[in-house]
Amino acid sequence: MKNRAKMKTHGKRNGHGRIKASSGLKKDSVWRDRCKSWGVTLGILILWFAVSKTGIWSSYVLPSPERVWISFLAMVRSGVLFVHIWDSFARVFTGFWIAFLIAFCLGILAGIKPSASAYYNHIVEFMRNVPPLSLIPLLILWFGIGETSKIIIIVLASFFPMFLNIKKGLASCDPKLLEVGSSLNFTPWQKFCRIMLPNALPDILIGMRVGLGYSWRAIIGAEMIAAASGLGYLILDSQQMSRSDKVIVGIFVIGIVGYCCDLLFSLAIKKIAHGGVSDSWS
Amino acid sequence: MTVLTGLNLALAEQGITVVVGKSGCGKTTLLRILAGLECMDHGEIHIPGSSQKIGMVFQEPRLMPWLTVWKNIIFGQKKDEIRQEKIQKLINTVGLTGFEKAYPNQLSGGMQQRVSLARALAYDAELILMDEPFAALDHFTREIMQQELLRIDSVSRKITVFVTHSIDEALLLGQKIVVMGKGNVRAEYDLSPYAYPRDLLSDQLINIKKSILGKL
Repeated sequence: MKNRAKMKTHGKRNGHGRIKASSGLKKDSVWRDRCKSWGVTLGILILWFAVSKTGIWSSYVLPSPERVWISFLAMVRSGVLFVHIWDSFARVFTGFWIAFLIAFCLGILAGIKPSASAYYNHIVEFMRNVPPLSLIPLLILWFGIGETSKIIIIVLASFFPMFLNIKKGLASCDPKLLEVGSSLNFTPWQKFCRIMLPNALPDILIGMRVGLGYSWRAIIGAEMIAAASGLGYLILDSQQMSRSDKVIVGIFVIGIVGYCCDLLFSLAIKKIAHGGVSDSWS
Repeated sequence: MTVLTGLNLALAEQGITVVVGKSGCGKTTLLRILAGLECMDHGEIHIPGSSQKIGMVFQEPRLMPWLTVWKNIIFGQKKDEIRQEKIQKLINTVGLTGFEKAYPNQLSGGMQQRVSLARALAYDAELILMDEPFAALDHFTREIMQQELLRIDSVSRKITVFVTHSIDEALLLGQKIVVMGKGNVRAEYDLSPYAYPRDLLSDQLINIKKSILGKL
């Protein structure tokens, strides 16, 4: 018995040590990962620099990094770039929240009543497979080239990942947890608010994150076809002016803004969903 | 499929009634019907007392993974009913002091089951249904929890229905033991004359155990 007790404490101490060691390792590996990712980025930049210096391709085909940087600075100084970013951002923001509201309401309906899916399943599958950009000719015909048609494109692009995830999150609620609610005399509304909704939260947030990514992609496409401002327009306009350096600036800005949005969103998710939930997504 | 037939059972007005029986004899179904989680085709249930509050401890912990231990325990209570000291006392009782802010996935199975027990006790029901609540606990924790259950039972006027596989546990806890087999009651034993704590090795209890084993 004594022996066992001894073993127990020994094991505990061991375990503690291991936890400490692993947290140290974690810090180390975070640094190593950071070095890796920055190293590769830097490598690509140097390669780009070197290749453009050799002059294999003309500066029209592959503008040098410093030329891109100079036109980036010029666009920042004149403020044009911020106007474009803001226009795209405002469209994404509006469309994304409209899509979220619709997806949330319909997702709840679909999640609570899975049997009703017979009515809409084929329509959802059909619409999901139609690229929103293919609707542009019709949308321009119906709504003109104003903001409405672009926002509709974003709504269509980001609706499905959000709707499907919200529906999945609500429908996959463990009936055993709902039984706990019944045993505690919860009303159906209480069961929904206190068990189903928090249980579905990780799925809802994943859907929102994916939907946000989709709306960024869709808005650039929509702006390349029918717009007088925005990052998509900036790229198309630069192409028509034969300014490939500006095209690259546009591409970089889209990538970085999208990356930042996703990063902010994932930080927000980490703040909201913790405990047992934090492991269920990354 | 018919699970329970011809079942007639009267629970004591207070105290612990233990239901024992083989797997699949309908013990859990009986509890679920009492809890209102399952419907029955025929029959009647009369629940004494005015309150409809029924606390249930399931076989599995069934905790909300997104809530801390503390929030899981007060899960069934209304905001104005929560009394901090009472909950803290309950947490101390089930041996989870210091784990109030932990999440279920950070706890062992036995600890999760104790949280689930605390949740049912915090709910303050007059009828508490327990479906093999201590089956997943280790020997020492189980002993502590059994004593705790007896202590809570002695100070509160609650009716507890306790389902278990273990005849020893039934003999230790029950004021009444109901032996079930194939959907009905095979035998009932009144153990209220035997005071707690009970000695399982006493002649009378050994005789009762033999008799129960014969009935199963």
